[in-house]
Amino acid sequence: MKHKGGASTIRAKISRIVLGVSMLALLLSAAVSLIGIQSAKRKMLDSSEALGSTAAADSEQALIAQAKENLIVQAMEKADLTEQRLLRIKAQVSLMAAYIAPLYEQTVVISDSRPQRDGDWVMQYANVNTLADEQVQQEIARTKNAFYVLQPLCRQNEQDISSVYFASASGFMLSYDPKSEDNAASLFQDDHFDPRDRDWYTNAVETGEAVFTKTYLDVFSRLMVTCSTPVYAADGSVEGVFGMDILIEDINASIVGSSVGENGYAFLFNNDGEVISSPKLTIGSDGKYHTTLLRDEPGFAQIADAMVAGESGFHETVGEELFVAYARVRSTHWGLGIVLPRDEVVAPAVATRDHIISQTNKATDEISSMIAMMLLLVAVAIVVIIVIVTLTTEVLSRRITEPILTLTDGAKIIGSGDLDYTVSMHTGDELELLGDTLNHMTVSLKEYMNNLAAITADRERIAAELGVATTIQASMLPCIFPAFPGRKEFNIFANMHPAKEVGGDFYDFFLTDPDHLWVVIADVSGKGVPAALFMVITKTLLKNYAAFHARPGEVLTLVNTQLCENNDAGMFVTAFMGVLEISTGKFTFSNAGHNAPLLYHGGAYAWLKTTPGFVLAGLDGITFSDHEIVLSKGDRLFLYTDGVTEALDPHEELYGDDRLLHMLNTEAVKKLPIDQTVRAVEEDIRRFADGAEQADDITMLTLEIC
Amino acid sequence: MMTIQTKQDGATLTLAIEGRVDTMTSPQLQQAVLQAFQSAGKVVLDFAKVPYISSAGLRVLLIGQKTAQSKNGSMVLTNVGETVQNVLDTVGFSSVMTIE
Repeated sequence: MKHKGGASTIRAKISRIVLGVSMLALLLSAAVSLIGIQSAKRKMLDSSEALGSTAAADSEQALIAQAKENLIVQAMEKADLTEQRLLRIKAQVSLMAAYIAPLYEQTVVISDSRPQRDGDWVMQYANVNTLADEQVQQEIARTKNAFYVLQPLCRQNEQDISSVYFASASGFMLSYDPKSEDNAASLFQDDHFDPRDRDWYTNAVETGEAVFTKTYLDVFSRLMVTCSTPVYAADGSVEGVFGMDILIEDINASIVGSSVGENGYAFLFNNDGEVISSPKLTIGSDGKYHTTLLRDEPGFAQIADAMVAGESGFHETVGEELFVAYARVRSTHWGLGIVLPRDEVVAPAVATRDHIISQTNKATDEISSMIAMMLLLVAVAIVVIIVIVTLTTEVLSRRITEPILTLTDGAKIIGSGDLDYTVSMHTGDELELLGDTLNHMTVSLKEYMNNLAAITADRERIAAELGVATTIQASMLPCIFPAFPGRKEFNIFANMHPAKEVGGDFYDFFLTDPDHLWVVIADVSGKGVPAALFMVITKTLLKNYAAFHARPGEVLTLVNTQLCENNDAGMFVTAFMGVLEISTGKFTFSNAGHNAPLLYHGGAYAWLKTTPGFVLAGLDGITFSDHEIVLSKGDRLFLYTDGVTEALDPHEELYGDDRLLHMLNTEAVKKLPIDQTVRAVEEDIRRFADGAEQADDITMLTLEIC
Repeated sequence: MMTIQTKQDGATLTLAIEGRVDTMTSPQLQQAVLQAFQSAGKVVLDFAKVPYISSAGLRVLLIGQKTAQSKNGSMVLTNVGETVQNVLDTVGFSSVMTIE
C-alpha cells in the first residue's frame, strides 16, 4: 500500500490533471495572443518600413524634381547674370571706344604725360617701333588725350576692369592698367609683340563691333578675357582697336562665388571646354591660375560635350550622386554649370524616412514591452492558478478521498477480523454503494464463517472419531511380538500399514487349542468407516467360528452365509485362512478370493497356488474347499494383501508379483528373521513408490516353523 | 480418469470402458452399469482398455452380477486383459461370472 500523500494518491492525480488542463489552456491562449501580437508587430514593422520607404522615395522624387527645376532656373539666372555682366562690359567698351573716336580726331594735346610706373592708373607704351614717326607721335598724343577722358570711367568700374588699352593701326599700343605697376618696367623695355596680330585686334576688326576673346592666360598667368571693339575714323577707316581686359576671377568672385546650397557650387567654362571659374579653382602657390578641362572631371564628359555644343540642360552624374544644371552664356559662348550633391537634395526625404523608421522603432519597442508585460502577466497567472488549483484540488480531493480512506480504514478493521464493524457512508454516490456492498459482504462473510465454524466443528468431530476408529481397529489386530513367547515350535510376525485412516485389511492369528494355530489375512473391499465396520464383523465371525470347527473351509462357508445376510451395500471380503497342526506340521487352508501366499521351502519362495474360491459375502450359499500341505522345520509362509503387489510408483506401474518374488528370493532377504523380512519388503515398496501415495493398505503376515 | 462409451444393439447394451477401475472411478462405472440394466437385459462390459481393477471395481462387478440375476438378465465381460484376468482368477470371479 502506498503512503498517504504520495505521488500516486488520487489527490495528487487530480492536482496534476486540473493543473495540467488549466496550464495548457493558459499557455495556449498566451501562445495565441503572442503569435497575434508578434504578427501584428511584424505587419506594423513591414507596413511602416514600406511607408517610410515610399514616403522617402516619393519625397525624394519630388525633391529631385524640384531641385532639377531650381537648378536649371538657377543656372539660367546665373548665366543671364554673367551675360548681363559681359554685356555691360561690352557696352562700356563700346562707350569708351566711342569716346576715343572723336578725341582721336583732335590735334590738341591735353596732357603731356609720359609713361609712368608709380602705381595707380598709368599709361604705358607698347610696341612703338614707329615712335619716331611724327604722325605716330601725334597719334600717341591723341590717344593719351582719350585716356585722360576715360580715366574716370575706368576708376568707376575698377572692380570689373583689369586694364584698358588701345592698339593703333599704326602698330603702337597704349595701355592703362591700375594693377600692373610692379612689372611695367620690364614689360616695356623690348618690342616684343605686335598688337595687330592679336586675336582681340583681328576679331574686332573683322566683326566691326565689340567682341569677346576666348579666355586666356595673360603674361602674369592670370585667366583673362578680353572685350575689344574697333575704333573707326570719320572716313570709316579703322584707326585701331580698343580693348578691355577682365580678370575671370572677378567674375568668379561676383557670380560664381555665391555658393549654391551647402555643398553645391557654380562654375563657368569656356568654349574650349576648360573650366574657367569654379570655387575649386584656386591660385596655386606659384601665384598662378590653373584651369582644368571639364571633360577630365569624373562623370562630366557628357555634360562637357553638351555644354560645348551650347546646350542648356540637366544631368545626374557620378552614379546619380551629383546633379548638374547648365546654361549657355551667349556673348562669350561660355557655359555656366551648377553642381549640387544628391545627398543635399534628398536630405529632407532621408530625414522623413529616418523619422518614420524611428517612430516605427519606438512603436515596436512599445509592442515588445507590451509582450514582456504580457509574459509577466502570464507568469503571474500561472502562479495564481497553481495556488488556486492546489487549494481547490485539496478541498475537492479531500471530498473524494476521505470517503475512500474511510472505506479503507473500514476494510482494514473488517480485514483484521472485526466482522461486527459497519462502514458508515453518506456520500450519495458510488462510494456509498461501495460502502453498502462492503457492509453486505461483511454480513455474508460473518454468516459464512459461522457456517464454516459449524462445518469445521463437524469435520473435526468426524476426524476425531475416525482417529478413534483407527485406534480401535489397530488395537483389534494383535500387535505384540513375539506373540507366543512360550512356544518354540513356530514364530509369527505381522504388520498392517494403513493407506488412509481406517482401512479394510486385517490379519489375525490365535490358538484354538495348544496344537492348533490359526492364521487369517483378509481384505475388505472399499475404504473408510463402512469397510472398517465390515472388517470388524468379518474378523469377529471368523475367530468365533474357528473356535468350534476344525477346518477353515467350513468356517469360511459359515461366515459367508452370515455375511450375505443384510449385505445391501454389496461389500465383500477376500480372505485366506489356514490352521497349523503344530505337532504334525500339517497346514490346512482355504482361500476366499485372496492372493495366493508364498511358501519358503527348500531354499526358495514359491507361490502356493490353488484354485481360489469366491470372495466372502459375494454370493450366498457358496462352499469353500480345503487344501492341505505339510510344513517342515525352516519353512516359512508369507501372506500378504493386494496392497503389496498393487503398490504404484509415480508412473502408475504396479509393484507386481514378480518383483515381490524376486525380492524375497534374494539371499540377503532369505537369511533375515521373519520380522525383518516384512520390514525389508515394506522398505522395498517405499523405494519403489518413490513418494507416490498408496491407495491401499499394505498388510503382511509371516509364519515360520522352527 | 475413466471414459465409458455406450452402444445399444437391441436388448444388448455394450459399455466400452477405458481407464483404471479403482476407488476413484468405480462409482462412475457402478452408475453406468445400473443404468444399463434399466434399458437392457444383457449388458456387455468391454474391458479391452482396462489395465487394472481394484477391489472397489470388483465390488461393482459383483453388484452388476447380482442386479443381472435379480432381473433375469445377464452380464458379460469381454476382451479381459491378462492383469485383470489374474485378479478375477484370484478372487474367484472367473468361476462365477461370464467372461468371453
